[in-house]
Amino acid sequence: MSMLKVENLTTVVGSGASAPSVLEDVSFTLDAGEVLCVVGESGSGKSMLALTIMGLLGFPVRRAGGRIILDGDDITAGGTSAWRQRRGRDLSMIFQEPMTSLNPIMRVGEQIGEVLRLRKGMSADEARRRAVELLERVEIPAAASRLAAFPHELSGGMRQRVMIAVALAAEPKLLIADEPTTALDVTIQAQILDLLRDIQAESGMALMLITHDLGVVAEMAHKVMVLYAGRVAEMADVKTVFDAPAHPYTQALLASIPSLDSGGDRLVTIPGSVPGVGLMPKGCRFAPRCPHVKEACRPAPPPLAILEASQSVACLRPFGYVRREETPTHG
Amino acid sequence: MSSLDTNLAHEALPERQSPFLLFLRRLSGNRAFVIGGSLFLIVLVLAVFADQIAPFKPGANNFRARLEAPSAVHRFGTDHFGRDILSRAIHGGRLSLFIGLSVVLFTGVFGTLIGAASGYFRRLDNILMRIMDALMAFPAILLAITVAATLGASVQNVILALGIATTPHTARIVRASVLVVREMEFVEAARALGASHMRILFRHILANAMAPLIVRLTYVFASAILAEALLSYIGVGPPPPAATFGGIIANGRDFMVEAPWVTLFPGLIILVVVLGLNLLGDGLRDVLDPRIRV
Repeated sequence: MSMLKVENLTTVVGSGASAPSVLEDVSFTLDAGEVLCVVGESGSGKSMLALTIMGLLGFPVRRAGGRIILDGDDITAGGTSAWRQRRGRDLSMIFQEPMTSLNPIMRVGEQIGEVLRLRKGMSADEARRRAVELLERVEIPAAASRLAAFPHELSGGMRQRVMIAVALAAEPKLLIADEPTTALDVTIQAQILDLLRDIQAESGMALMLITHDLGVVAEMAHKVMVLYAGRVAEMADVKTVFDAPAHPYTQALLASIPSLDSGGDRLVTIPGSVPGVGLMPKGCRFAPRCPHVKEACRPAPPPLAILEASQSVACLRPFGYVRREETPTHG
Repeated sequence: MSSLDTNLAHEALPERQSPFLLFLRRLSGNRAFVIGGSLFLIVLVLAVFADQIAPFKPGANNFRARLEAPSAVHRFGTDHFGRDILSRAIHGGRLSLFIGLSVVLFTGVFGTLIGAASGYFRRLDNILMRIMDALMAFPAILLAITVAATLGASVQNVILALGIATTPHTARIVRASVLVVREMEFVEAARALGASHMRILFRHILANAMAPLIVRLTYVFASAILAEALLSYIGVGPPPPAATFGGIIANGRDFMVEAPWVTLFPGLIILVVVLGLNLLGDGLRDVLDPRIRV
């Protein structure tokens, strides 16, 4: 059974039936021990997806429909208070900005201890011991002496390690990491990603990693979900996404990665930008920017169709002009 | 020492310095804070140890020494009952500071609660702030006079009147800084860990939003002492025989030409206290507010 099952999730801004959506009909599953990377450019709804699953949407954004099933329980059923009880315990989240994600006036040990005491019911003593173990687990040297440190005394990478320790303190079933390495420099990025992968493999939790860095995807993902303007464009395992991307948007994303052997050519870009909330085209949301668009794409959004077991795509013309048999196939 | 040296020294320390210690160190280097704090501290010590320090009992009449000019015995002179002005001023300071402190507590508690509630629970914001606007539409001192005159002259009513008059502005200030802090990422992170509203509001938001409130409260303290003097002067302050700065001055009003010392010395003490508190507030603001710090 899958650890996380998201069904037809729709998130809108404002009230009423005509409220514009920032997420529409998003469905996916994620197994324990699996890493799902959610990719897409700014405005594609990646962070909204994270906040919706966490139950952290703030007025006027709200979940208009869909279910979120975590380890067999529908977490949307119990109301906001039950959802809050799950946060930190069943679901946890790491944010993008390590510099500002820790309370500046609380010692590191207190911030980890707060979760342990609230969510694990530990005594202050137990919490302190466990906090040291957690800091050691996230590879912070001299862990015991760091408990008394304030966030401003730590470097960005250190703080992100502390954030990971805080998020993992109550051993969640699902960890959502929203661009956890974007604000860090490249060598630290690699260390943090390694750390996340190790911890995830060891604990068997499900990891949802939000990123716009396809390098991170290649490094970390088992499965990839490509979001475009709040809809799932493509969902596939990592190898398929890189070897045989089916959606024109995925193809364009991959083509826009500069490669070492592209010489002095101009960088490939996708013309235009993501349509604003409420300005979505009626049909395929990528249609206005799509090089392969045809009339059939415009009246209604294409459904997410299963191409093969490991790949589904929401496109009427998958692979664009490239015919299926010409693409390299892998499993 | 250059900033680089400071950083290195900082890195080398095994036990790091807390923000509070850093804050204290910066405060002690601020001249306005040190001068203002010293002035205020002197008055505070006089007020607290009034019984030990004052040479006479504040209410002791001496009809053989009425309206006596300052001398070795009565250093600040005496009033029309022959009461020692110095002793009355020292005891008056006790009551004035008590009223000031009570007003600070009143406005601190209610201003924080109202400001925090309207900054954090957006649904309450409109109604709470409109009520505060309505109160702020009156000049504060007029509002205080109205409340004090309506309820009658007593220490509690003066505190209540000044508390009500100063709370709206305090609530506004707290609301403004809560609005800033609530959008910070660590608040979102705390929510992501399932912290309750109360925990987020008090432990994460308010704890990080205190700086403007602390500065505001020093000014409230100073203006409460001034306003209490004014209320006493126009006769809606604490009733006699209680001595407050304003009360002593009001007593001396009729003898201002023959015995200027009755009004002069308490007036100077008010000046010192208010100046001290304002300097203290300026110093705190300079240290707490990074936008002003150069």
